[in-house]
Amino acid sequence: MLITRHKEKIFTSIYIFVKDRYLAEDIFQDTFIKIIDTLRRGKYKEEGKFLPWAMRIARNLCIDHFRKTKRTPTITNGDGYDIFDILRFDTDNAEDTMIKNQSHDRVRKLVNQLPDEQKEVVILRHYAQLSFKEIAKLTDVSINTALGRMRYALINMRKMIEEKQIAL
Amino acid sequence: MNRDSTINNLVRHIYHETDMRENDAIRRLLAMDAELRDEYYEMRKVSKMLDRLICNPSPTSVNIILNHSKKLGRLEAV
Repeated sequence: MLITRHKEKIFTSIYIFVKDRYLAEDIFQDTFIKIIDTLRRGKYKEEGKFLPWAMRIARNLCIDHFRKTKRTPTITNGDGYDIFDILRFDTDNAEDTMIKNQSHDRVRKLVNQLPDEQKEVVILRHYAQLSFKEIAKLTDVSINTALGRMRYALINMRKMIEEKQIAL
Repeated sequence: MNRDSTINNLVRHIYHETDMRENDAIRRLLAMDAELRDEYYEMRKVSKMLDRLICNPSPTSVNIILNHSKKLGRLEAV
Protein backbone atom coordinates (compact mmCIF):
# COMPACT_ATOMS: atom_id res chain seq x y z
CA MET A 1 0.00 0.00 0.00
CA LEU A 2 1.15 3.51 -0.77
CA ILE A 3 0.78 4.76 2.78
CA THR A 4 2.75 1.88 4.27
CA ARG A 5 5.54 2.33 1.77
CA HIS A 6 5.85 6.11 1.91
CA LYS A 7 4.53 7.31 5.27
CA GLU A 8 7.92 7.75 6.99
CA LYS A 9 9.47 9.67 4.13
CA ILE A 10 6.53 11.99 3.62
CA PHE A 11 5.89 12.55 7.31
CA THR A 12 9.55 13.35 8.06
CA SER A 13 9.66 15.90 5.28
CA ILE A 14 6.45 17.59 6.44
CA TYR A 15 7.70 17.71 10.00
CA ILE A 16 10.95 19.39 9.01
CA PHE A 17 9.01 22.09 7.19
CA VAL A 18 6.37 22.89 9.80
CA LYS A 19 8.40 22.24 12.97
CA ASP A 20 5.37 21.16 14.94
CA ARG A 21 4.38 17.55 15.54
CA TYR A 22 0.62 18.09 15.72
CA LEU A 23 0.54 20.33 12.67
CA ALA A 24 2.71 17.81 10.82
CA GLU A 25 0.18 15.07 11.65
CA ASP A 26 -2.65 17.25 10.24
CA ILE A 27 -0.79 18.10 7.05
CA PHE A 28 0.28 14.48 6.67
CA GLN A 29 -3.39 13.42 6.80
CA ASP A 30 -4.41 16.16 4.36
CA THR A 31 -1.62 15.13 2.00
CA PHE A 32 -2.72 11.51 1.83
CA ILE A 33 -6.39 12.41 1.61
CA LYS A 34 -5.58 14.64 -1.37
CA ILE A 35 -3.49 11.85 -2.89
CA ILE A 36 -6.29 9.30 -2.45
CA ASP A 37 -8.92 11.67 -3.86
CA THR A 38 -6.75 12.48 -6.89
CA LEU A 39 -6.08 8.80 -7.54
CA ARG A 40 -9.79 7.90 -7.16
CA ARG A 41 -10.81 10.59 -9.65
CA GLY A 42 -8.26 9.22 -12.10
CA LYS A 43 -6.52 12.58 -12.23
CA TYR A 44 -3.06 11.28 -11.44
CA LYS A 45 -1.21 12.10 -14.64
CA GLU A 46 2.35 12.13 -13.41
CA GLU A 47 4.58 10.02 -15.58
CA GLY A 48 7.41 10.06 -13.09
CA LYS A 49 7.67 8.42 -9.70
CA PHE A 50 4.90 8.61 -7.14
CA LEU A 51 7.00 10.00 -4.28
CA PRO A 52 8.13 13.28 -5.91
CA TRP A 53 4.50 13.95 -6.85
CA ALA A 54 3.35 13.20 -3.30
CA MET A 55 6.15 15.35 -1.92
CA ARG A 56 5.04 18.29 -4.03
CA ILE A 57 1.52 17.95 -2.63
CA ALA A 58 2.92 17.83 0.92
CA ARG A 59 5.19 20.78 0.37
CA ASN A 60 2.40 22.85 -1.21
CA LEU A 61 0.12 22.12 1.73
CA CYS A 62 2.88 23.24 4.11
CA ILE A 63 3.33 26.46 2.13
CA ASP A 64 -0.46 27.01 2.08
CA HIS A 65 -0.51 26.68 5.83
CA PHE A 66 2.23 29.26 6.24
CA ARG A 67 0.51 31.63 3.82
CA LYS A 68 -2.67 31.40 5.86
CA THR A 69 -0.87 31.97 9.13
CA LYS A 70 1.51 34.51 7.57
CA ARG A 71 4.55 32.66 8.82
CA THR A 72 7.62 31.87 6.76
CA PRO A 73 8.14 28.21 5.87
CA THR A 74 11.82 28.11 6.75
CA ILE A 75 13.42 25.03 8.18
CA THR A 76 15.30 26.93 10.85
CA ASN A 77 15.64 25.51 14.30
CA GLY A 78 13.03 27.63 16.05
CA ASP A 79 11.60 27.35 19.52
CA GLY A 80 10.15 23.97 20.27
CA TYR A 81 11.25 22.58 16.92
CA ASP A 82 12.81 19.21 17.06
CA ILE A 83 12.06 16.84 14.22
CA PHE A 84 14.02 14.14 15.93
CA ASP A 85 11.71 13.99 18.90
CA ILE A 86 9.90 11.22 17.13
CA LEU A 87 12.76 9.61 15.32
CA ARG A 88 13.54 6.08 16.32
CA PHE A 89 15.95 3.34 15.48
CA ASP A 90 14.94 -0.17 14.53
CA THR A 91 16.19 -2.11 17.51
CA ASP A 92 16.64 -5.67 18.64
CA ASN A 93 16.73 -5.39 22.44
CA ALA A 94 16.83 -2.93 25.33
CA GLU A 95 20.60 -2.56 25.34
CA ASP A 96 20.65 -1.89 21.61
CA THR A 97 17.86 0.62 22.09
CA MET A 98 19.81 2.55 24.72
CA ILE A 99 23.02 2.63 22.71
CA LYS A 100 21.24 3.56 19.52
CA ASN A 101 19.20 6.25 21.24
CA GLN A 102 22.40 7.85 22.54
CA SER A 103 23.84 7.76 19.06
CA HIS A 104 20.59 9.06 17.62
CA ASP A 105 20.61 12.01 19.99
CA ARG A 106 24.11 12.97 18.84
CA VAL A 107 23.16 12.72 15.18
CA ARG A 108 20.05 14.81 15.84
CA LYS A 109 22.14 17.57 17.37
CA LEU A 110 24.55 17.54 14.45
CA VAL A 111 21.81 17.86 11.84
CA ASN A 112 20.18 20.68 13.76
CA GLN A 113 23.40 22.66 13.61
CA LEU A 114 23.54 22.63 9.81
CA PRO A 115 22.59 25.76 7.86
CA ASP A 116 18.95 25.67 6.67
CA GLU A 117 19.69 24.98 3.01
CA GLN A 118 21.96 22.07 3.85
CA LYS A 119 19.51 20.67 6.36
CA GLU A 120 16.75 20.79 3.76
CA VAL A 121 18.77 18.81 1.20
CA VAL A 122 19.69 16.22 3.84
CA ILE A 123 16.04 15.76 4.75
CA LEU A 124 14.80 15.62 1.17
CA ARG A 125 17.51 13.16 0.09
CA HIS A 126 17.61 10.88 3.11
CA TYR A 127 14.06 10.91 4.40
CA ALA A 128 12.02 11.91 1.35
CA GLN A 129 14.46 9.91 -0.82
CA LEU A 130 14.24 12.36 -3.69
CA SER A 131 17.00 12.37 -6.28
CA PHE A 132 19.22 15.44 -6.51
CA LYS A 133 17.47 16.33 -9.76
CA GLU A 134 14.11 16.20 -7.99
CA ILE A 135 15.46 18.22 -5.04
CA ALA A 136 16.83 20.84 -7.43
CA LYS A 137 13.41 21.13 -9.09
CA LEU A 138 11.54 21.19 -5.80
CA THR A 139 13.76 23.83 -4.21
CA ASP A 140 14.23 25.82 -7.42
CA VAL A 141 18.02 25.60 -7.59
CA SER A 142 20.43 24.00 -10.04
CA ILE A 143 21.42 20.36 -9.56
CA ASN A 144 24.99 21.48 -8.84
CA THR A 145 23.73 23.73 -6.06
CA ALA A 146 21.74 20.85 -4.55
CA LEU A 147 24.79 18.57 -4.78
CA GLY A 148 27.02 21.26 -3.31
CA ARG A 149 24.67 21.72 -0.37
CA MET A 150 24.70 18.01 0.33
CA ARG A 151 28.46 17.90 0.01
CA TYR A 152 28.90 20.69 2.55
CA ALA A 153 26.29 19.16 4.85
CA LEU A 154 28.24 15.89 4.96
CA ILE A 155 31.58 17.68 5.35
CA ASN A 156 30.23 19.99 8.06
CA MET A 157 28.78 17.09 10.00
CA ARG A 158 32.07 15.24 9.77
CA LYS A 159 33.93 18.32 11.01
CA MET A 160 31.56 18.66 13.95
CA ILE A 161 32.10 14.99 14.82
CA GLU A 162 35.85 15.52 14.81
CA GLU A 163 35.86 18.84 16.64
CA LYS A 164 33.58 17.60 19.38
CA GLN A 165 35.15 14.14 19.35
CA ILE A 166 31.74 12.55 19.15
CA ALA A 167 31.54 8.78 19.11
CA LEU A 168 28.74 7.56 16.85
CA MET B 1 36.76 18.63 -14.91
CA ASN B 2 37.27 20.96 -11.91
CA ARG B 3 37.45 19.76 -8.32
CA ASP B 4 33.95 20.99 -7.36
CA SER B 5 32.45 19.11 -10.24
CA THR B 6 34.45 15.99 -9.33
CA ILE B 7 33.28 16.11 -5.73
CA ASN B 8 29.69 16.64 -6.86
CA ASN B 9 30.08 13.42 -8.84
CA LEU B 10 31.36 11.67 -5.72
CA VAL B 11 28.22 12.82 -3.89
CA ARG B 12 26.08 11.45 -6.72
CA HIS B 13 28.01 8.17 -6.47
CA ILE B 14 27.45 7.93 -2.72
CA TYR B 15 23.71 8.28 -3.38
CA HIS B 16 23.75 5.77 -6.28
CA GLU B 17 22.94 8.34 -8.91
CA THR B 18 25.86 7.63 -11.24
CA ASP B 19 25.80 5.25 -14.21
CA MET B 20 28.25 2.38 -14.83
CA ARG B 21 30.56 4.48 -16.97
CA GLU B 22 30.76 7.17 -14.28
CA ASN B 23 31.27 4.51 -11.61
CA ASP B 24 34.31 3.16 -13.44
CA ALA B 25 35.73 6.67 -13.81
CA ILE B 26 35.17 7.39 -10.11
CA ARG B 27 36.83 4.11 -9.08
CA ARG B 28 39.89 4.96 -11.17
CA LEU B 29 39.99 8.48 -9.78
CA LEU B 30 39.75 7.30 -6.18
CA ALA B 31 42.52 4.77 -6.75
CA MET B 32 44.85 7.56 -7.89
CA ASP B 33 43.94 10.42 -5.52
CA ALA B 34 44.33 9.71 -1.79
CA GLU B 35 42.93 13.08 -0.73
CA LEU B 36 39.81 12.60 -2.81
CA ARG B 37 39.49 9.04 -1.52
CA ASP B 38 39.58 10.25 2.09
CA GLU B 39 36.94 12.87 1.36
CA TYR B 40 34.75 10.29 -0.36
CA TYR B 41 34.90 7.82 2.54
CA GLU B 42 34.28 10.53 5.14
CA MET B 43 31.19 11.76 3.26
CA ARG B 44 29.93 8.20 2.79
CA LYS B 45 30.36 7.45 6.49
CA VAL B 46 28.18 10.43 7.48
CA SER B 47 25.63 9.53 4.80
CA LYS B 48 25.29 6.00 6.20
CA MET B 49 24.89 7.41 9.70
CA LEU B 50 22.01 9.62 8.50
CA ASP B 51 20.32 6.67 6.81
CA ARG B 52 19.80 4.96 10.17
CA LEU B 53 17.23 7.49 11.33
CA ILE B 54 13.54 6.77 10.80
CA CYS B 55 10.54 9.03 11.37
CA ASN B 56 6.93 7.86 11.78
CA PRO B 57 3.50 9.49 11.84
CA SER B 58 1.13 8.45 14.63
CA PRO B 59 -1.09 5.36 14.17
CA THR B 60 -4.09 7.72 14.54
CA SER B 61 -3.08 9.66 11.42
CA VAL B 62 -2.58 6.45 9.47
CA ASN B 63 -5.99 5.14 10.58
CA ILE B 64 -7.72 8.38 9.58
CA ILE B 65 -6.24 8.07 6.10
CA LEU B 66 -7.11 4.37 5.78
CA ASN B 67 -10.69 5.05 6.93
CA HIS B 68 -11.01 7.84 4.36
CA SER B 69 -9.86 5.45 1.65
CA LYS B 70 -12.31 2.72 2.80
CA LYS B 71 -15.17 5.21 2.98
CA LEU B 72 -14.57 6.32 -0.61
CA GLY B 73 -14.45 2.68 -1.66
CA ARG B 74 -17.87 2.08 -0.09
CA LEU B 75 -19.37 5.19 -1.73
CA GLU B 76 -18.15 4.04 -5.13
CA ALA B 77 -19.74 0.64 -4.56
CA VAL B 78 -23.19 2.17 -3.86
